[in-house]
Amino acid sequence: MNFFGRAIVTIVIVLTTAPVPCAQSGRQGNKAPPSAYDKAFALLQQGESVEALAEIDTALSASPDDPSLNNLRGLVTAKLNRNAEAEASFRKVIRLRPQAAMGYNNLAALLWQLGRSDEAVQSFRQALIHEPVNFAALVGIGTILSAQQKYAEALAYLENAWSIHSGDFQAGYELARALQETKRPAQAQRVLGRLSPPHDRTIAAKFYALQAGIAEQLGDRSSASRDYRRAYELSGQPFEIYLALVRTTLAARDKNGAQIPPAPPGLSAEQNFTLGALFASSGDYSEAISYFQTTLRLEPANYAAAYNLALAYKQAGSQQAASELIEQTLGRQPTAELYSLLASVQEETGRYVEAARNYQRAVDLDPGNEQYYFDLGAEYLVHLTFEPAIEVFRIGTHKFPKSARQYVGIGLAQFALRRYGDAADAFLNALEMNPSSPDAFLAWNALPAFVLTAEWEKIQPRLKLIAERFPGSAQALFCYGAAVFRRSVVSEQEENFQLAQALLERAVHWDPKLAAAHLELATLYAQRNLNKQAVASFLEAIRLDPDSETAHYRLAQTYRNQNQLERANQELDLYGQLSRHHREQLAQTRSAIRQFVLAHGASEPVVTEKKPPL
Amino acid sequence: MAVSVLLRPCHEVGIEWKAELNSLLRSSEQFPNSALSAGWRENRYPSSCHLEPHVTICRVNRRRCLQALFQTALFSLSPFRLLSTSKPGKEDSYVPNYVDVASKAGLTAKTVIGGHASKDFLLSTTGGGIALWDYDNDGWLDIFIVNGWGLRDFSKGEEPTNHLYRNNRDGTFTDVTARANLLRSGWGQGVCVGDYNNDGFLDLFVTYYGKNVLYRNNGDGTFTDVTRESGLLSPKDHWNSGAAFVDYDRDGHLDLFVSNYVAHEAGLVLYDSDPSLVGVQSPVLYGPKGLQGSRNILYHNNGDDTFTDVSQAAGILGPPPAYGFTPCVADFDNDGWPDIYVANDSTPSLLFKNNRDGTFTETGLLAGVAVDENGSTQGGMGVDAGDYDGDGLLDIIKTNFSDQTTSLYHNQGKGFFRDRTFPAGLSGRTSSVKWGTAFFDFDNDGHPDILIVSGPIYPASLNPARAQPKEEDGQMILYRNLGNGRFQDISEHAGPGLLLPRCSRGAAFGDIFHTGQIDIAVNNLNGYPTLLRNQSPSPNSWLLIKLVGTRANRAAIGSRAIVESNGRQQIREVRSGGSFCSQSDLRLHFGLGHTQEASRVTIQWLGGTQEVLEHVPANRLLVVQEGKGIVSQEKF
Repeated sequence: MNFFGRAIVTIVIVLTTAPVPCAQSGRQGNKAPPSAYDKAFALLQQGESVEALAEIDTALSASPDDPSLNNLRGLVTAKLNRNAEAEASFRKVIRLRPQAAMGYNNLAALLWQLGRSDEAVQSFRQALIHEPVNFAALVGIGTILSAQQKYAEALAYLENAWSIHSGDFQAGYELARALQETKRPAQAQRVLGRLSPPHDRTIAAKFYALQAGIAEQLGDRSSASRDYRRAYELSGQPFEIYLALVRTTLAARDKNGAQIPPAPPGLSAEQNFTLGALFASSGDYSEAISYFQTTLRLEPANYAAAYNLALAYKQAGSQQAASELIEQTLGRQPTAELYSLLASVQEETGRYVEAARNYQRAVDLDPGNEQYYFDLGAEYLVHLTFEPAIEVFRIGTHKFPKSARQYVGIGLAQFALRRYGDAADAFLNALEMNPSSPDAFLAWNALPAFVLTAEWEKIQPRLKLIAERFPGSAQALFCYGAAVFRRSVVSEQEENFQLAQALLERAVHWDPKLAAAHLELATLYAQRNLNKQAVASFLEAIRLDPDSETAHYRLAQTYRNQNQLERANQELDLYGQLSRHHREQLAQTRSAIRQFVLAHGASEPVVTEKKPPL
Repeated sequence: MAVSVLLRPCHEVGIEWKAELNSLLRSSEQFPNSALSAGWRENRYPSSCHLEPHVTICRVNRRRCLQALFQTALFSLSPFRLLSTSKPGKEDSYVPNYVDVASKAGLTAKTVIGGHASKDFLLSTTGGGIALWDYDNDGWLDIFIVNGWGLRDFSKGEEPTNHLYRNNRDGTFTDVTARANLLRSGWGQGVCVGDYNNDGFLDLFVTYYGKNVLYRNNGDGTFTDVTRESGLLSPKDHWNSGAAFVDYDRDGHLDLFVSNYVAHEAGLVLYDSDPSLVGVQSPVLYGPKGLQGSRNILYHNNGDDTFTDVSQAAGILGPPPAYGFTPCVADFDNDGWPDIYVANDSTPSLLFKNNRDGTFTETGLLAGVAVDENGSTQGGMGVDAGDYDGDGLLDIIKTNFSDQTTSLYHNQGKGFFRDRTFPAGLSGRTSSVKWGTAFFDFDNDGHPDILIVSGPIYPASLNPARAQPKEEDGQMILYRNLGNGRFQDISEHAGPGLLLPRCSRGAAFGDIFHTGQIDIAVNNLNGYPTLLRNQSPSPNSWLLIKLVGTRANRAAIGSRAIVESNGRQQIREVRSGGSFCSQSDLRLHFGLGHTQEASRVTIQWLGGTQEVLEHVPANRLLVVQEGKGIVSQEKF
């Protein structure tokens, strides 16, 4: 039985020290000499349970049906772990005084102590039948039901008990716990707020732990961290509380965040791993590393620990350590994900050729994993080795026909090789799969307008079909509408403008947050000299995407055409700032590009790296 | 950086990559000569082009057939009509026939700009200006070709030099460089002409990577380097590019505007760029982005044969450093004062509006001529101004880098422009790098057409092991003005001269052979010049006007002629510089269609005076002097 079980017993004892009236003789208000009950009770309080029992048995031999003596006998025998006798005594009390809650309560407490929770609840219920507002019974039932995780059921009893004795620690604690469990943390916090932490360290620890849990539920991670810390300090460093402390402290961490205390000693491998994962997920890789290292020391063959340690090394910038650990682990257990991780480490350290090889190995080991194909293709792509990238993505499209990004990969490589028709075809394949795919959408809309114009005959039917197949897709409508608009600018045919306008207006209707659609619609309005609508749409596009230099530029031109030169210049200023910022970002991107060369003539493709002269 | 972000742990890649995709793609958009634009796009006939209904041509076979055939018939000066099935005199079916006659004409010196097999430095890809001008006042256009330099030493006597070719008036030219004292070696870039001292002889200004040179025309067939005494010898080296004489303050003396490209110290910086070419071809260039830019320079002519740098005072130094290529001087807002547009590479182009008080205000962005319709900067190279739609306002054509459309900015009035590239039908040709250009009337129908010369960054002869050349090899692009605001690409039907693969740069336009039709001289990088003669006589009439200023500067630069015929009006301005760092004929050419006269010719002299000539007969060269009207005329 937990502490509260024992508490119930104590409370019951305390509450039942007032003797049963019919069993008393001369106790109230007179100065009669101590009765056998009094003597026995005094002995019990002195801890002399055996002596107390003897006294009680002597008295019972004279008065075998004295309810108080039988009740006291039950309490003493319970203390002496003579549980059968104790139960018998309490049942006799019930027989003798069936209307009094005392017997039922004591029996219930004993039964719960013996693990017979359902019987205990029954007994408490019996007490309540006869004394509906019996505090002990209410607390008892509530506590047991909570222990059985029947929190909703427990709430009614505990709230009742709390209304009788608000401020009672057990009632309040159990009530708060039940409220927390039933997702009413604000109420739970109010209840706890009326309690003071007890002196008992263990109970106080539980109090603070509960308070922390409630604070966490309320999103107050700082308070939760503080209370978990207190609970941890009071409780002798149990792991569960430490874990909660770490979790909330990491979540609440600010620049002046409190330090996390050292972990309790003697943690298992699993516990170390758990802590490592917790720190890693919050970006504290150096801490994570030490826990993962400990896990590995305890379980050297722990693959998950090795993988995560390597990942943590990588994230912490210790590429060399990551690389060595991965290679070591690969020697024991070669897996695709390890090769993939190794490749990403090598990519970061400039070992691009090896990175490509290892991405390839990941593909070889797990050819059913689309991610690995993508990673390999992307590796080639980012290093501007386009033909191999196309080959990888091409295979990817066959193996994973539902993966839009494989087509996007092909399209990007074709785009870089200036095969714009092929790029458009690949992007369209991706769109046909899923026009809402962010990759496909982004890629398609990055195609220069002259590509749309040049490839119109091939593009138009497919875009139209996409829009028809996905009538509720704002992206599909936008892609088609934008292409029709571009075409209409070239052809200057009114019907095309009208169609484009209708499509784009539908697109923004379906997705009012699609900034690109607002921008294109605004441009169309401007083209048709619908200046008021153009300005409104440009402003909306800017509101949704304030960093769009194109939107600012085109709005400026529209203002200018309406002779609103001051506004035009304001927009041009914004455009200029954005434009400069984007150029700086692009300059950084370019400076990181490296290349490698496929050497011709080897029996199998040999990938070597050629460094630039400067 | 794309690399580290792209390759986060695999479960994050899909999300992170999305963000970097945009960056990657923007990179390829905005860095025209970056690695991401590697590759060669097969030459394709743009879908926007509409063939003449009666011309049925199997495009690919036709081209190859013509190339083979015309190699042997290249130098004939008699008209060829293989491409055209139209009847003479039928204006709307006229097809030109441009033939390269350079070799036959005696233009035999190669232009050297850096190495041939490799292009290790940015400097070895620019330059190539060319001028058509009458240096000896004999009424015939001569040719000046700017030459470059290399990174190796040349044998004595084999150093590349600029060349002056005097027109022998019989279809041939004589190299008179030495006689004219114009021998000079260096990293020549551009050229412009103007009579800075108003002595009646056109002087020559040549820009260099380093220090520019002003040659005073002595009037006797020789020139004198007067750079120092004129005040144009810059104390510091610059990477000068295009230049133009301009009388910006209308005091009758020609001032000088010089564009500057990348900062001089970055000219020989090695940049490696296109990784897909590494191992297949030598490292090539990344373009100017990331390099220090420069500012342009305006020199004021003091009226005493000297110049003063007034860049600061005139407001020319206002814009941030950029990569300026070609200036184009024109009165864009019709206020009678010349403005200056500068085509910039990879940075917004500039429009310096003349404030009429000796200063300029840069208005490119507001005017709508700085960037494309999306607000994206382009790799601007060459530029010309012309009124392509006959509304009385000068429009702008600007050539750009590969994978970018040419820009056509339509003048809306009040100094504002609208990008009309796509509606005008100029969006089809994007695969090549485009350089020299001009509005000119090849068929004399009164509607200015457009010619663009192109040339790859990389050497013309690429590694044959490479499956796909990176760019089209210097096809010229000829757009016929359809008269309705739109143009038609007729490049593949305008004669074999346009189809010859070249690495072209500067182009100059003028009636070299006195046929009444415009011919074109082109400077080719690491190659021989091209001299395109239209051997298909147009059935239409024409008028050539030479203006001579008296109160205005002698060469009448900045003055304007407005010719009215067939109920339409055409505008031309006398312009120094333009195209790509080049100089076209200062005389003003007008096509008159089928009419035999211009009903009215109005001359607006720079300075404000105006003269009107009525019922001017067609098919002749008129010389009009300020205050005196027509002083001479010559029928061709």
